[in-house]
Amino acid sequence: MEGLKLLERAFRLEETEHAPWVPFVGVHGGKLIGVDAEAYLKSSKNIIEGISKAVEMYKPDGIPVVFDLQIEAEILGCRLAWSKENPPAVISHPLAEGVKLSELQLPVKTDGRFPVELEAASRLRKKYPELALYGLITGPFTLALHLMGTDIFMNMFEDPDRVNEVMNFCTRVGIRHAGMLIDAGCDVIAVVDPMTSQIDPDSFKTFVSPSAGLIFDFVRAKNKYSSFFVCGHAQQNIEVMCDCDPDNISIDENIPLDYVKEIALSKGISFGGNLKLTSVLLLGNEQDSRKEAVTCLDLGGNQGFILAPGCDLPMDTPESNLVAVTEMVYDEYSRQVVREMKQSSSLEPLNMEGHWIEGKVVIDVITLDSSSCAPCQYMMEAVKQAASDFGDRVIVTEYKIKGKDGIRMMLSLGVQNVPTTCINGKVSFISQIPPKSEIVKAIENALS
Amino acid sequence: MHKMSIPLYLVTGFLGSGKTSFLKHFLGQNQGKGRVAIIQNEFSSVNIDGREIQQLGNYRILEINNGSVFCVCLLGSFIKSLAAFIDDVKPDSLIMEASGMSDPVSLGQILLAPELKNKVYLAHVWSVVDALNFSRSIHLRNRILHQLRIADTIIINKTDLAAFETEVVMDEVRKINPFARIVKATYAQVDIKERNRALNLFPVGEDTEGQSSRPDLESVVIKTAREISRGKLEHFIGKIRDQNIRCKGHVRITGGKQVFLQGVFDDFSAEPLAGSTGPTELVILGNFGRGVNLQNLFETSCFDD
Repeated sequence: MEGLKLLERAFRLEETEHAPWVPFVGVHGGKLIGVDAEAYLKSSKNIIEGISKAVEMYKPDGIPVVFDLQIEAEILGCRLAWSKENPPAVISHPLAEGVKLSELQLPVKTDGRFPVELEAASRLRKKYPELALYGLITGPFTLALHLMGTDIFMNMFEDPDRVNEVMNFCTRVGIRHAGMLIDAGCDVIAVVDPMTSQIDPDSFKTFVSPSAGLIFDFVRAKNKYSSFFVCGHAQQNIEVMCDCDPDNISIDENIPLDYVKEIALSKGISFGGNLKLTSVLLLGNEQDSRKEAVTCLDLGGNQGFILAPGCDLPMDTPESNLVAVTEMVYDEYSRQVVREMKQSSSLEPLNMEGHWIEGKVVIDVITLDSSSCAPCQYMMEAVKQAASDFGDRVIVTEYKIKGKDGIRMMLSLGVQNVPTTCINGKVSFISQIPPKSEIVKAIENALS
Repeated sequence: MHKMSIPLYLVTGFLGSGKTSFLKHFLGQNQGKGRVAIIQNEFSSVNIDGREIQQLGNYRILEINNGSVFCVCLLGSFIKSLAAFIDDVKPDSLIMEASGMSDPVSLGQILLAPELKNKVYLAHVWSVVDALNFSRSIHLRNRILHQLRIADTIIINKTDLAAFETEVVMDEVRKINPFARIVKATYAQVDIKERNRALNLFPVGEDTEGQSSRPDLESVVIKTAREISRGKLEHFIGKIRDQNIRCKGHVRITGGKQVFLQGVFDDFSAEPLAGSTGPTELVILGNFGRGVNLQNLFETSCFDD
């Protein structure tokens, strides 16, 4: 696995053989190893185990070490409410409750849950030297909101100097945290600032851009890459985000990927996103996930695009959906099948009357097209070879799903994958090409 | 016995706009009209004191642990707790006070989860606007823009404190959402009988809460950031016309422009919205059956060849 190299190519806007895949596994890692969110985020051992499981199952090119935007806030005195299925929530805001900014100390690496995160990062670094490790820091605006509460919005209007002071402090916290993560072995620093979706571009330029720019400069000076994550309705800020000069911006399903692509590439910045988290990855099935992945991959292209969900994966995201996305990343044939299958819902199954012939074995092979798809070609050859021993007692037909009749036959036979071989209407061999002896045996069974 | 799905009323608005006053008003107006249960953000700064609610009636409250910063990524666990709450409390209606930073469309989206499908539907969205503060800063306006866009009724509150500003705010709000009902209020005292009007199901003023005439409905939220051609949009609407009782929302049309779509059954209008950007977000109310995934049907109808 050379995920880091692939991601570096994407960051430099060079063409990639496939779009790098970065599943944002946060507390979902807890699900993979059977522990709750709190037990997961408080233990480096659990994080290492969860991420290792995710690496094994989802074959990512890059992965975040920890996805928790409350780590810095907790150290700075925000109280947290822990839950079993989510990252913790900030429930108090020290600067709104009488604490003075001058009383807040810049954190050090032994504070709070930093040791858990940094140990996980350094061990994962050793375990996966070629995987791109993302170190996440809370974006300065979101951290300022944690510290000030929603007072920040009124203060932007009534007391901008105060907001700037807090933002300056949060920037220093961010730079310090980024430095720790880089020292622990992270390759990419993601500045995760979802709450910037709540402000307009002018406010962004006034309050956020100077801070974010300093963090990206710091990361660049360390010869590492940076990404600017935002989620929610932040389309208005994409340009100003790019102007902060990160190496990458990452967005969720609320912003059109083609829009981000156009803006980011015109400014020489790579971009990532935006698999639908709730309706597809969490609530949809494998086929929905395949279609969604192909849609994103086709829109994103192979230059400067990183495939990722828009935000932290919900804990209960079915593993099978993420495995389905993984399959789309690595398998061009599977992608082609999904593109062809998109037509299927408007088509009716074929009428099978007269399809079966008494005393004969009917073998239907559903392929993408055996003349252009290697696995389909091998499947067809194997079946034809095995059938040749039986003469006219066996009828072999190829149905190419590039044509409508092929898709209609696929629907009639209830076939989900390509290539698939059905013997007398029964799905017998899926995707893998069986040895000749197995096909012969299956034909003999059908004849007897 | 067949169970009717439960209407979920959503109250959105900026911090301090009067959501809590509205909630109390709503509860007061609903006394004796079926069992109302409340969903609240446990750590919201405007959390009503439980005792205060109990003085108004014996209400059950579901508290959501999402902290002060509310993010769509955290909605997953809400599905289970809401489903369990409904099974336990068996309310006739639900009212949810959303935190100032939540996205009402994403909340509606989770009602598609198998645990909630056919149990609860998004019936009406109120957005409360503070007339005094709305015009004070563009920062604030931007924050609630999205909530205003999806509202059925927008309450311009605190008009007694902002006699001069009120008309300006009304104009601004109307530009953002020309299709919502916009009402002025003090202490969020508005006629809540209007809540079913947006459904176009009942005569105005008739309150059918808890009555057997309530239709069995589900609400489906469709979201996509991709552009759609008008023709394909019409094709989709045609496919669902028999089951679709009401449809409302913004659609991103080819060329990046937005239209506001609303309609009843197959009678639809799509009005262009100047200066509006963002993804397609449609709320559809109807009875689609358990096996139908409307988001999939939408994508197939609108994007596949």
